[in-house]
Amino acid sequence: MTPRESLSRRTFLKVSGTFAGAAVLAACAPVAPADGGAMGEEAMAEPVTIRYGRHDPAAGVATTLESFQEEYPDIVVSVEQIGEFHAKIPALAAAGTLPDVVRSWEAMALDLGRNNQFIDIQPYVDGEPGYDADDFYENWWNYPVVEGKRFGIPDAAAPHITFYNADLFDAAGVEYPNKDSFTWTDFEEKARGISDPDNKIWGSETIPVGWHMYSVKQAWQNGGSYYSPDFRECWLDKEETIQAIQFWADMLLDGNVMPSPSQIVGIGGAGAAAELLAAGKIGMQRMGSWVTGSLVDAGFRFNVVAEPSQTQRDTITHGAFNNISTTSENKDTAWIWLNYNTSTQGIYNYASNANFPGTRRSSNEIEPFPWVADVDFEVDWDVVPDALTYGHILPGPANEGEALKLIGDALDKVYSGDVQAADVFPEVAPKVTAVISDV
Amino acid sequence: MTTTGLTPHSNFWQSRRVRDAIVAYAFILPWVIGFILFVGGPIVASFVLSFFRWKMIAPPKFFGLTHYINMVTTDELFRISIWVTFKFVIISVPVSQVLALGLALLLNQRIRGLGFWRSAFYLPAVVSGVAGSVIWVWMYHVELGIVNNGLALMGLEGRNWLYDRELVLGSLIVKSLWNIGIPMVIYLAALQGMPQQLYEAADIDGSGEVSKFFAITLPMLSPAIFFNVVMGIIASVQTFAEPYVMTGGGPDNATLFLGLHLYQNAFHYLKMGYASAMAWIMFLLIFGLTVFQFGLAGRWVYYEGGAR
Amino acid sequence: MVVGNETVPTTERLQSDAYTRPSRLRTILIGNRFQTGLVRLLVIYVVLIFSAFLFLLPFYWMVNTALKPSNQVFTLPPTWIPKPVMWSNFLTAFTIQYETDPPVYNYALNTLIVTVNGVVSTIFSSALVAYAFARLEFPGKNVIFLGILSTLMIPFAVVMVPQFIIWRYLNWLDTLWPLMIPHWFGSAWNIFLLRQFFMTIPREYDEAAYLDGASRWHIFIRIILPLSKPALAAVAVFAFVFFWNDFLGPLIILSTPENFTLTLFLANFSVAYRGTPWHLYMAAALIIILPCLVLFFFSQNAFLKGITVSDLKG
Repeated sequence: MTPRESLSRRTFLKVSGTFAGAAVLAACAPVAPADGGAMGEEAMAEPVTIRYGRHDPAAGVATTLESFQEEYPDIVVSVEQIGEFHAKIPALAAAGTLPDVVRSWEAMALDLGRNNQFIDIQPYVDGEPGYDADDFYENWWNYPVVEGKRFGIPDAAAPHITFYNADLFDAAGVEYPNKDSFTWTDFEEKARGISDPDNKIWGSETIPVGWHMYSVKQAWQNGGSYYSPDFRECWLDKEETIQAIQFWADMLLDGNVMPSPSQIVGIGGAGAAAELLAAGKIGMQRMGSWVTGSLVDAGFRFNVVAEPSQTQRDTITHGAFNNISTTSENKDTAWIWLNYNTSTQGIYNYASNANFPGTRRSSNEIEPFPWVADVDFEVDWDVVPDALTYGHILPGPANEGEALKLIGDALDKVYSGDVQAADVFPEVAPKVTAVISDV
Repeated sequence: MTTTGLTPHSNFWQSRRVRDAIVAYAFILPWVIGFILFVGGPIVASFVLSFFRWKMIAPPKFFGLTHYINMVTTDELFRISIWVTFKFVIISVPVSQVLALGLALLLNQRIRGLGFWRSAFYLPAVVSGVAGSVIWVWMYHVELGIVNNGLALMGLEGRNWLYDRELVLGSLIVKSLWNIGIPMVIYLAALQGMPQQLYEAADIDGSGEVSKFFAITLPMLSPAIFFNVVMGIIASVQTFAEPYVMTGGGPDNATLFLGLHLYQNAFHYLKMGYASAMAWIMFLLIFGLTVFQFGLAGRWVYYEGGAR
Repeated sequence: MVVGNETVPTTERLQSDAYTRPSRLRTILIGNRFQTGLVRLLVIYVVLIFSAFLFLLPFYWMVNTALKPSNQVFTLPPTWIPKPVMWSNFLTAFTIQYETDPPVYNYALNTLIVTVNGVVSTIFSSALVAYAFARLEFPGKNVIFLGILSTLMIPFAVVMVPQFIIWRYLNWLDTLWPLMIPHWFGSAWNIFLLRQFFMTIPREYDEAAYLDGASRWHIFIRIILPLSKPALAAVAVFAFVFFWNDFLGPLIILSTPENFTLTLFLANFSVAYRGTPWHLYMAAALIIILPCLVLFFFSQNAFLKGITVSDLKG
């Protein structure tokens, strides 16, 4: 017994010492902000805290928040940036812990609305004297309405356009894209002219792998789509869709137009791909107008042109809706913030911070226009608001996460050259239909 | 203690036995309550749930056996995830055991600084799945990682360890071999507790090292091997943090472990019923493999003092 | 493992003539059972050094990166020794606050709460249950004990969804309670481990106390627990490592950054900091594993005991 005793005491002392240290640490550490802990202020009206959840940095609403807090000192808005937004929002809904106000994306807004996770805010809109609904673009205003219930107010409408590095075009002696006619074939030709894989220069940005909702624009530009207009049926197996995806897959695999999956590895891995344009390594990038922000200090002349088209001019306009969650205990207060944030000035503040148009016409009339960045060379800024006139809002099928997983796996196979779109899409389409029709 | 007067001797024992039983039940009560609330109840609930479709944000609907049928008919990802998990277990568990045993045999030699070596091999076992995975992502980084840079120093060409679907599962298996501290220590302890007489006897018989290993060491270690294999299977079927952090299940679902697929169905797609059905399959997988091990154990596990 | 098998005849054989002495040179190089030969020693150390090198390499790579200035992280070929050594990276990693996220020490505090609770609750509840199985007789004892052991086979995934639903309806999601409460009901592995240990304590100790009129509770608290310090320490260190590193539990339970634990923070790190600052990432990883490493170094015996105390024959 004796040897064990002495050993145990030593060990035990060490362990308990560790714990004592831990306990001291715990005691000294600042207490986490407790909910409504202010004891002495009971007499005063207790400030209501509104949680506002969004996918992007809080900086975008900083200006609006500041003026809001001045106007409504009794309402505290706590902004939460939610990582892995796509996956986390449904999980929060299931957990019943959605923030009071959620800034949701297209499919999310519809799906959670249909499932009663967001409240119908039309009564609030109607209760607002002089609310000018006509100020919103119709397609955006009507998007979050299902069976007469309005589940959100749109704020941003960011169209996808083509950015190009004019310096790289000049260096390669390639003509800039033509504003009036810019086809896929033009795109490919110009990209080929610029590409110099040995020096890690490519004509085009690669297709964002793992973010397959953006590939839908290619289908649209060829008259196809991922889904039927009511989002109940998958149209991946339609000829136009197959052709479109295959066209871009071939361009991707060619290796002389855009970095192929194996080439992208050599230039910094998948994560760094989005920074290639800003790094001056690629000629063109088809992406949302928010990319402007990363180009302002990039040190080269850039310009914008519409997305290239095949059979028709089309593009994505991607935005978000402000919704009030059913589990919110302060819905009236939540509306005050929501309404303030989606006012002309609120939308302008956010949109101009991120370089895209807002969903209110009045916001887009304030100068400098929200999508314009301060650079010392000519940029055809009109391309940005123009895209709103012909672009489509991202689709909003039910169970989008699962649908995109199926579509994405198929696209990955096509983009990696394992299979032809014609072989895999007809197989996947009915599976996707089964998922999205299950409303 | 209450005095109930003088009790006859036989009654005293009688009452002690009864009292002991009552006290014993009181002592194990926490476990019973915990079992009902957090294990037994949920298991039953999970089984029932597997016959329902429930997104949690909408009322549940009875679904019969559809989930189980979908697993084998429409959900290709489920089949992939079972296959990925199975491959991982089948390779990772035996290889870890061989390595752990090899290291334990080395440490069991008359070497200096046993504490240092043992710590070096054990240390990774206290590093979490997440932190360990993060470190290995950085190790495997295609340009900046030490693996490819080390290979470059030797004049070999690096590979894209985590983005190549042919390699990625292997890369995760290698990472799992880093965490063999616990089985290694178990083997070492078993080796150190080995009766020396057996070896002495073998020496006298003139047996070589190899035959001694197979004739004495291995049979004597068999309970430890059995234990480590069973625990290894239970843990590796549930692998989650590594694919979640290192690969997200990709590329091309090459590391879509069952645990990850289940998690995504439950908490990303909110298919709680389907996830429960998959969880039951996972349970059956572990159960089957364990029972299989126990079945085999009779043939090869040697217990001192006869059969158990 | 229990030694003491008397069935092998040894003395007789040792004295037999069959035992011949190998040559001296052979002994020096290859060795015999009393002495390890030089060649053999060389092989052993080469393999040991090489293996240890491989096992420690990830730590080296982490520390090396964690100490680099940011501009050296992306240079090729990589610098093998950081120069200058940026100790400040640790401070940056620990105090950096991304946007509206809470600072890292907030995650550390949450982790500490969960871990301390986990250690205390696991020790106490498991010891309680283990005591009943080690010392008391009651109907159904063996069946229940087998039941406890068989729960080891139940994957967390099976109970994860129903547990989530329970917390959902208690409105306890996104709090630390679901990560703390379930551990007050004993954990199968630790019950087993402690029961094995309690059984090695001579029964005379508690019998004597019992006859003196001490209650079972009294015996448990005053006699068994104090005599079991090494085993309790072993349970404590393992529980510490387990709770400190737990990931799936916090992942499904917690949703607001204020409530996150360190593992969640680390898993989200590259998401939050877009374009990964690997030197800070590694510094954060190092900070997070440090408590477990320190614990290991200071209580190695407890670790080893915890692994080996359990008689594998159950």
